[in-house]
Amino acid sequence: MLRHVFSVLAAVAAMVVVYLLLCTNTTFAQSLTIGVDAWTPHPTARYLPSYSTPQDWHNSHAFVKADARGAVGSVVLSAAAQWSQVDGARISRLDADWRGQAGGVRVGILPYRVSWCGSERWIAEPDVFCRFAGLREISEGGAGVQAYSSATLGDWLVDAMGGAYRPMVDGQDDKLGPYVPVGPTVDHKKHGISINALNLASGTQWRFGWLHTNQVQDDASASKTAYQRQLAYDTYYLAHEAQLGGCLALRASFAQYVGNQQNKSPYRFDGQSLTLDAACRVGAGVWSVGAGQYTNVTRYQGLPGVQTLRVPSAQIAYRHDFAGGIYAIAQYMRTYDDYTLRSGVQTIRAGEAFGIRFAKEF
Amino acid sequence: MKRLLPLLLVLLTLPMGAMQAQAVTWLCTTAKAPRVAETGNHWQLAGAEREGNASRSVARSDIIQAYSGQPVLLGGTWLLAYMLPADSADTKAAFLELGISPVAAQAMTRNTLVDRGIRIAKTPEELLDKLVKNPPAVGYTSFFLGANKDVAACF
Repeated sequence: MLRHVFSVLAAVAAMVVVYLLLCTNTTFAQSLTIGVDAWTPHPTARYLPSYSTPQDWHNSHAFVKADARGAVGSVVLSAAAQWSQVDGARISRLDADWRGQAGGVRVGILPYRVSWCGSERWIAEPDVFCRFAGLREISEGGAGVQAYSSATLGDWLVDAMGGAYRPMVDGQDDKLGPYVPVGPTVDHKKHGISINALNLASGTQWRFGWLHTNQVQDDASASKTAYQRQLAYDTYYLAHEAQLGGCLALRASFAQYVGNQQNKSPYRFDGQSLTLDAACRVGAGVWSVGAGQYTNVTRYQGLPGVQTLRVPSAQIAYRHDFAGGIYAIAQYMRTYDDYTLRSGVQTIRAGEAFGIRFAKEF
Repeated sequence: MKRLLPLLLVLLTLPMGAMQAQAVTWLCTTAKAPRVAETGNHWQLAGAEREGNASRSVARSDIIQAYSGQPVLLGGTWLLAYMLPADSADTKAAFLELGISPVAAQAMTRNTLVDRGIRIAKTPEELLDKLVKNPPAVGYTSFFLGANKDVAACF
């Protein structure tokens, strides 16, 4: 029912936007990015770009990103969508932002704004919570409402935002939290707070984000007795960014999701990612170096007890901007996997990949 | 000669210092602001009527406020502020004039909790193009040949 209501509202919103474009003096801005990525994963180890993608993996694949923004007086209407052959299609945002001098409210499909994921210096970011489809929920979003406010405290510009979300309204998140879906979602609620502090004199920045999730999915795989999987977890994000002098900028981030899943074999999980990302701009290009480690500890009530997964990774990339909105990125990355044995079959221990991206922004 | 040498060195370095501290021209859009009707040859310059050499409505304080991430309402619409990357010579000169950190302003253009009106352009040509397409807006350049119908010097 909610999905049908959302479809109708989206169609009405689209017609309103078209009317505003054609029949009024509303200002409007849009951008479009079209590109192609080519990777050579060898082999497909855990958390390389080719690992467990939502759609079938292709070493060469295209992508499109589009965004548009219109202002009707002081209300800003925003829309953003993306598609790639390996990730599928997604509406990143479709919202109205009522903004005042001290703060505002946004309603619609909204990015959760927990993390700093979305760096354009990389094809695949160093932080697993930004890169891997199964973990990058915090960098995505859903239907909901956000309220935000800003204040200047000495040299610091402090932004605070609270949000409540009902992802079932837009229906784009059909996973069971970070896990593969087992059936239809019957309940999915999120709420959270994010705080950002920016030093206006130095550009040093801090971000803290928290997002709580409750989700229930009917397990359609049960052959005899259907049951529900109930997921409750918290996601945390803490990051710091600073200019170190000269061309060098450094970002350090910590991300964690911790919670439990209630089903026939309940378990608790704690996944953490610690990442360092350094960048140096040289002329029209940017060199980036990143390293990180993802650790996940899962505790079962029965066998196998405790499972620990550790995946360190390292990468280097260079982005060059050409005239006319054209840019290219070359990236090399390597991951290691010391996943403890569960049933005697060990996963691939290490893999590397070299990738290149060509894209044009219109 | 020995006494003249320091003076000569100072005189020689003065032009070099002047060249490094290049001035920028602040640019404002001249296209119709939203909800403002075009009447004859009168155009709205970022929210104000202009006739001949009439004064602009964008004040220097508006520019400082916009590049500090504070909202500036102009003609009923939020003012956009375009900047080049923080390490470009034009940006350093422009923000030195405003007394604001360009790194902080650049940090406000991505992954923010509040959608501020600061936008990044990678080249001066792209900055000018985006100014024209997104009025009301301000930007800067160290090389401006003169007013066209879409963009003019703010002051």
